[in-house]
Amino acid sequence: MRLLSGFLVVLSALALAGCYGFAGGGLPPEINTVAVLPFDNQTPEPTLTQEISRAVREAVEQRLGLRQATEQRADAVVRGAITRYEPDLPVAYTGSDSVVTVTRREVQITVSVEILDQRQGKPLWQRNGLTVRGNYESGNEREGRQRALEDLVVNIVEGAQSQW
Amino acid sequence: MVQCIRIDRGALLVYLGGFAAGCRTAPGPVIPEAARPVSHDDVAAWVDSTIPPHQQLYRFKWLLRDERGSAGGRGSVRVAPPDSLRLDVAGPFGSGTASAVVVGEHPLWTDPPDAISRLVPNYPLMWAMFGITRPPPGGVELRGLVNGSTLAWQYAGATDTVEYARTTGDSGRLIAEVRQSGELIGRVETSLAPDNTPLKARLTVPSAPAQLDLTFLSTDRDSFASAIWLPRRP
Repeated sequence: MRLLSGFLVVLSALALAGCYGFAGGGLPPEINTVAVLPFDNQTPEPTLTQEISRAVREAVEQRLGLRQATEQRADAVVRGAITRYEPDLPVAYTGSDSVVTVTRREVQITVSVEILDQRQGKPLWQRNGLTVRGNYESGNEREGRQRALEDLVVNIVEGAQSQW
Repeated sequence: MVQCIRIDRGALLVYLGGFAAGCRTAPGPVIPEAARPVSHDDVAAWVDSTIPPHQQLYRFKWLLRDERGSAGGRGSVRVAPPDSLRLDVAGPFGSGTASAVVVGEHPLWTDPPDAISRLVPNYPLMWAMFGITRPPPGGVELRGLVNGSTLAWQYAGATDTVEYARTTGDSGRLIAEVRQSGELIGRVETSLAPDNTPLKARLTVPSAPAQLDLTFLSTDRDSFASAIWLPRRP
């Protein structure tokens, strides 16, 4: 019985350590609110601005647990630029020597992102030239773009958490 | 010190021939002499045949050359038939972007304000670069001709003249020329796929002089989000 209690104590301690470790990742505790500013879209793809904003908002609000606020009141702002968009890079082919068919393509989006602590005036996390990818069956660029945006969310969340 | 340069005669002839071809005067007329007055309905049908049947997204590379040098980048245009488009162009390495929404021959907005005029001097010429012709304005004389797979037509107003020639088939082509008070404003030659989507387009503006080349990379049938008609910066 005593052995079992000891085991449970150790297990609880490990679980707490695990929780503590998880809570310790992410942004500093004083950062509770965020404003996602529209990204400067330097590509000829107008719809990207909104889609990137949506993805970034998902990353910082749903995954990093921050609340949305106006730029003036927010503890942190997220800003950046979309510097490149490649909609249809071929990645897989079938066919013979004479006829080649592209079966899968890839969307690549390159962004520069910065999460800035407004009170301290210092960047909490930044990445320049971050390229995210999403591959798709030829003719379904939207699917590839969606995957690339999911890749962006993962990169932001992992990047922000790895800073602390 | 005297420098001697040996010139191969054959090479010299080729060079001079090429130079003479480059300095050639304006290309031939778009409308044949034999063109006759045509009805508004005829012209409307010809114009309609150049308009895509559904919303299209074209992506392209662009290269602008003038006396100062050249600049290029990527671009996209979203065409919503019959008369609306959104144009976005970006220079290399984030050097700048320009966007515009145009309905017919009127910009709803342009960002920056000279987004269109930096590239093309005239809206019918801009539309022609995407393989699309514009209907005639009111009060112009209409002339035209059908010759096999080639259609040619002209709108002649008090000052402006717009001429189109369109060839259909495997190697389709659209030529558009605009003159103001007799002076050539610009000429567009667009090569077309059998489904009338643009493959390449060249605008020549003799007054600058300048040349704008578009090489189309992809054509997608698309349905656009309503947000694309709104300005980039509210």
